[in-house]
Amino acid sequence: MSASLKDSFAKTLLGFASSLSVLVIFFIFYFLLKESSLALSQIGGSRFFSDSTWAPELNLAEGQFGLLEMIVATVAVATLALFIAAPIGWFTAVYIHFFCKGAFRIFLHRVTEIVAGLPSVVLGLWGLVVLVPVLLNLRAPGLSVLAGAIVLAIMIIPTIVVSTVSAYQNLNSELTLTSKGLGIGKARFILEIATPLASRGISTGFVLALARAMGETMVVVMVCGNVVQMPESMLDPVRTLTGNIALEMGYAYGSHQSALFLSGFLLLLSVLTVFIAGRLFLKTQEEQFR
Amino acid sequence: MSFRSENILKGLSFISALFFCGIFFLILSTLIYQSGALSFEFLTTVSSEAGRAGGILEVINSSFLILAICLGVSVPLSIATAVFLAVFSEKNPLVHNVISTALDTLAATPSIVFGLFGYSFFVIYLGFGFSILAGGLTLAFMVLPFLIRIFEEGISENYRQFKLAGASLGLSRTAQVRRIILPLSTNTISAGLVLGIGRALSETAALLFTSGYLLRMPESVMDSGRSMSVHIFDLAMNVPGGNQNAYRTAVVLVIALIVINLTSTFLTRRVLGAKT
Amino acid sequence: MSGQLRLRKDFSNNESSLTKVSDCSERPGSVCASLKAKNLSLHYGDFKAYDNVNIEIEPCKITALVGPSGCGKTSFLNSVNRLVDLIPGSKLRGELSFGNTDILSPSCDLIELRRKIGMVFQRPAPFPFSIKKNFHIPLKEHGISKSSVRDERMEQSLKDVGLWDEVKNRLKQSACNLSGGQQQRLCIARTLSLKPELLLMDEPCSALDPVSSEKIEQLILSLRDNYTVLMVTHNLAQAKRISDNLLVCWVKDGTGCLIETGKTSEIFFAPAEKLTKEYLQGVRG
Repeated sequence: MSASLKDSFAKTLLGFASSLSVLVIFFIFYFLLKESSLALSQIGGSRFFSDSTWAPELNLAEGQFGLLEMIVATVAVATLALFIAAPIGWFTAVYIHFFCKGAFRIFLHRVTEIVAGLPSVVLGLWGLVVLVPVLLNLRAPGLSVLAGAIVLAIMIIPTIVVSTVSAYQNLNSELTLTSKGLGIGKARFILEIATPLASRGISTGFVLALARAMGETMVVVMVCGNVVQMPESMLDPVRTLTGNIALEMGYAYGSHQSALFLSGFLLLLSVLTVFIAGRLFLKTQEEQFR
Repeated sequence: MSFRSENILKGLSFISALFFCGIFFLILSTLIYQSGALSFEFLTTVSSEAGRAGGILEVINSSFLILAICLGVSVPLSIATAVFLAVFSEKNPLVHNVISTALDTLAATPSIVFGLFGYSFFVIYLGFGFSILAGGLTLAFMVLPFLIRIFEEGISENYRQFKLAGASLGLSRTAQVRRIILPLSTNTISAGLVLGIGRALSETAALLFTSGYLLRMPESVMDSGRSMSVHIFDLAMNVPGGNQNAYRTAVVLVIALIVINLTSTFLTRRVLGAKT
Repeated sequence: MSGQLRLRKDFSNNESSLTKVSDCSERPGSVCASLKAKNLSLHYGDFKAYDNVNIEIEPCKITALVGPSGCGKTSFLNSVNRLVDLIPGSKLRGELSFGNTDILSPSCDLIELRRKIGMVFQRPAPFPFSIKKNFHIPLKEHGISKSSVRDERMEQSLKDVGLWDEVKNRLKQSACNLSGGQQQRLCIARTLSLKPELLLMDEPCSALDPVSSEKIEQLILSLRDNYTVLMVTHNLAQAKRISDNLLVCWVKDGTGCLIETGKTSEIFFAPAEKLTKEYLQGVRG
């Protein structure tokens, strides 16, 4: 076989392998929609938003299929987690990048990596056994929006730290020298020069972290209490979309199961929306900057 | 004034870093403290009383099988994709955009959605049932985007460095990949492998309804099998009095992951060291 | 727009017998094919790297390509073995042939073309494997399946570049452990092991210290009898020392072009173009 023929053969073969990752995305959408179709035809799309709560019954007319409370819970837990994690993550990254040297810096990097790699089920276990009893002192049952948000925050801090540090690292290294040459203090340099210039990378980290928190399952199932209700305070127990799927898929069938698939599809869409919205926002921001 | 604000910023950021480390050690020490005495027998005996007593031998077995299937499928696929992107279609922005978008989407997809997909496609549609095979394949597609990104970075760096020399000697792209690029990318590949192992071992949600809960020694990949992470979840949530063994399993899992993480940083450092 | 190199009259007679040497087991010896370009131009997307190049490179001579930065010297070199194909958006137009081979033809076998037309880069580019592997990888790909034959080829080429005695006891060691000058000679030897007919050299001495540079220059001179050498250099003194023929290029309106060609001694003695004179005197460029 001639060399160029070998090359085009290899290219075709590898191209097929590569197309698989594109194909999987379509497969995911296709299979989620296919499984949701039963619920859409038997229950109807509007009831997922008009029904007051989630209480599936075999008798579809008696059951309640409202997802609103769980959507609100998902957003509430994830957003609160981001609010807790963002300052800690940003400050830690600032410390790592601007103030810390030598062994402690390597140590901090290592800790960040290890926390990033901790299984969410282990964090959930910790939350369940350590954190929830502490929150129980504030108000029963302890399993709550706040518990979920705190554990999720621990989970997403590494994401924020890593992306913030790399955003600062990507800045032109001459910037520091120029600023020093102009006699600009370190604090002013960090707050008024480095951070605005790195804002794109830093916000990307926040968006990634938010998407990760929204899609997380194990932590919220273990520490949020799984009560289907509209949260009125941070100490209320709630059930999120992901938690609902994890709890009910085990025994659901028929249109109930199909409804779970539909909620999974909605979850996927909303996580991807956060992603795309974040990207678009960053793009326009970048254009303005130019 | 400038010095004062610098000190405030430095102080605040130091407290944050310390707080973050503190939480990490709090988690670690709780795990170790709560698990009580952890003996080697825990790894070598099977469980009893729904996991409350005994060890986790069958769980470790299932985890390994799931991991093997996951990596056996995802590693060759992602190397192929990475080579395709870095070497064979480096000039084609359309191919890069399409695959890149697909990979970003895959990477952003929540693991529970992968679980739903795996259930619908592997368990039901392909008829694998709740099985280690279905769980491993689901995980394979989940880790795919991360592996491809790592491999592509290493492979395109090597290709960029040696493509002119290779091409000027009349080496075809296939020859360059086989004889130069892949042999030079072994470190990248092992780093990716380690990342894949870490991700696959940590995953729970995608396995709940693909490889299932069954606490039994798996006889084949068509059997349902419980991974370590699922075991922790089940003991903590569904088995009263299962907390201690949940903690013990968590300690085993975390130690394994930390060892893997250290191996990976060691390998990455070697990769970076070789380049400079 | 440029002149034609005056060639030996008897050259064209040899051409047909030469191009039969497609099998790389046979050394071309002292008869080589010639490289001809007619109206050759290269575009990178909308950018025109060089335009309207008409030349014929004299076989078995050293031809130096000189000119200021950005006049497309390296681009021209990379066009000859179609290495520019690797750059997205590159487009070669015109005619370019080597012996009977139409280089720009879509059916041109690039693998064989690049074997016949070897290239040495500015920076030594050994593969980060053992010295031995550096030779075996390309030789194997060019169909030499017997390991002993590959070893012979390696030894011969290393002797040709005067590196054999320095490395014969460390063939299994990494090529990256050699000094810069040794690495460059290794790369030349690696190219020679494929028995090319034309050697393209892109500033082969500019990344080296003076002593290594001197060695490479001697080596290039010693290659003259068996190979056609086309080398880019920034170093006018070097061009004057070792080249037989000279191609002077220039940038006009952002595009590279040839302004003068001819015997090196003649051009240095009496440049026909004013620009060439100023360039050689160091007034411009």
